[in-house]
Amino acid sequence: MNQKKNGAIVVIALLSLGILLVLGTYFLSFNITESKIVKSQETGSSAYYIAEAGINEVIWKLKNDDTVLDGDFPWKTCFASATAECPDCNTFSATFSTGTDYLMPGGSVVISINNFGCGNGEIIATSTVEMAGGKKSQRVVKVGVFKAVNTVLDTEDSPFFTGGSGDINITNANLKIQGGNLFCSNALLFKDSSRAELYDDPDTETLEGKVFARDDVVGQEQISVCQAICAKDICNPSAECGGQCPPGSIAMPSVDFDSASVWSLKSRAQALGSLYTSSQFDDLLWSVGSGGTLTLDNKVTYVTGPINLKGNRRLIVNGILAAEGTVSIGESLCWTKESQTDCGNSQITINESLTGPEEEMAGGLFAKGKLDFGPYSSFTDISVVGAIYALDEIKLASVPNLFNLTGGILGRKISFTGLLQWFNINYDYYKMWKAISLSSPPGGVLPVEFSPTVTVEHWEGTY
Amino acid sequence: MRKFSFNSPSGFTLSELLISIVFVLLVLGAVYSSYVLHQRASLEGESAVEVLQNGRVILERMTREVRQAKNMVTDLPETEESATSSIEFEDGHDLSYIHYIRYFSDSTDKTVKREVIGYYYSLSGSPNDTSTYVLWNATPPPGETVSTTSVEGPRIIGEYVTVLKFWGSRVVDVFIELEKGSKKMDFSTKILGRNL
Repeated sequence: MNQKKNGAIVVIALLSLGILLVLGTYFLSFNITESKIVKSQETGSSAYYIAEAGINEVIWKLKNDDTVLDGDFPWKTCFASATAECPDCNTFSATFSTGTDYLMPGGSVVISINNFGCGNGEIIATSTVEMAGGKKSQRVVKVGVFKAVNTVLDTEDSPFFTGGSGDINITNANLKIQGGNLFCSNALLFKDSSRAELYDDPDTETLEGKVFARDDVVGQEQISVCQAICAKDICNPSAECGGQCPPGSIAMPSVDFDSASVWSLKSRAQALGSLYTSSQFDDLLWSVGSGGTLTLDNKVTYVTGPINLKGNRRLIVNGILAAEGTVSIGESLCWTKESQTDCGNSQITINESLTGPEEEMAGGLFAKGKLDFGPYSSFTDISVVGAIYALDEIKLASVPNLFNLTGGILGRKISFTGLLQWFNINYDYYKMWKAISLSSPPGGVLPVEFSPTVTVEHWEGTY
Repeated sequence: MRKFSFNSPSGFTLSELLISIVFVLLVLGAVYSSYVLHQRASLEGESAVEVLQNGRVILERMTREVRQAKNMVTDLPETEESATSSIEFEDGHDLSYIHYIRYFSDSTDKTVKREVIGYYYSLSGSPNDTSTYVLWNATPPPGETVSTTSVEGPRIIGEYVTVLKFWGSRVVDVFIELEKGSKKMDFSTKILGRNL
């Protein structure tokens, strides 16, 4: 019996010691873990805030940095449009590194932007804080950023649109737009047996264009549109309509007809010796005789009054023809002057200027008043390259031949009536804007203005 | 070796007792110090969480309001060396009347406080009438001056703040240092005022 009790104290002591050891080890490891958690929380928070700082730096760049002098991309420009440094803003991506010891010892942030489209991208900031023992704390913050490009996209893609309060009236006429959309600041009215076809990409022959109208679209069933009709009465705030209903407004691009600026169309024409009064221009047209051709080779020809082309004349303009008054093409069949009467359809052809520099080789027909194409406006297909622009109404009525426009058409109000043939617009943004911006000082006005505001997705929701 | 028995009247020798006591004391000491260490670590952890929470709240609130600010009143210096310890700007969230928000650190109670301020013309305006508030840099009518009144606060936004600094003109740099007990933390960030 006694023998059995021998050594029991050793067992008890060992057990107690074992329990104490386990407890001690537990406490110790608990402490170590706790201290690690605290340290990690601390550096993690610091890392988060320096990542946020990096994001803010980049948003500043997107709003302001349009220079390469600081040694990197002109972020502001590249984000929303194409430049030599970044030819395609749809795929623009860039990375910016803050270097070491950014805002705190051992802190650094690498920020990258990847565009999903022009003016629409994602910023990812990855911050790192070096900790003692070679360990690192890292945080990644992502935000979506975009510029309000809605109206600009409309402008960019719209080969013809009206500004101000004007409607677009299409009565018994056929329109085919290739490579763009149709924008109307007011109501878009389709009457009788009109048709409109909008192709975004002429090669695919699928109907992809869009119709934007700030007011209602009447006769929408006559539009063959694949993508969308975005109008007040056809409310479609989806992304393809720019997320707005009705679509955002577009200011009518301004053209400097006759200011004192050396870049105005009048000053340019004066410098080139191609400034005419209305009667001088009439004389020029009359002098070529019935069936004759008047060719204007100056970059800009400016008439300080109305232009009236009639009486079987052909006018070829290699550049821009601008008039302070109404421009009438083929409104009348006959022209009686000096007791002589010439009759017949007249024709106008507009080509881009043949003299450089390249960015000034523009073509167009500009009217400070109205611009009318009448029933005697052609004896063969009409060809215009550049912009057709009128501060007042543009009216095309009973034009007897195909009307081919490469560029764009812009007016306060536009009417197409009884076009027997198709009116074809091959939208060419560059050709259109070259003509429109010719009266602006070089670099003074950008043809496309993106909104200066950078909007950050969930900006208010991230805190 | 003498055999131990619970029935034996012989007991323990002095050396046995001394050894056991020392041993038990050693073990108890180890357990106690481990417990104290644990306590200290938990307290420090708690302090850290509290400091972190205060820093987070101050920065988040300040960031939100500076981001939306309509105008900056404080002329922020370019470099950290000449940084200011307060910032004042026009509130861009509530546009029902013109008022300004000021954040500043109070070294007496180690807090960051927020105050809403209104500016008014000394004679024609009333400090209690929000409709008479004007811009901080408004030109008063002849004979009057622009006075200020506290519309709200100052109220404590966060505690344990030992240093608060603002600088940077294009993007606002913020540095905040917090301390509770032996726990010290600092945070730096930048805020872009989207309307500035």
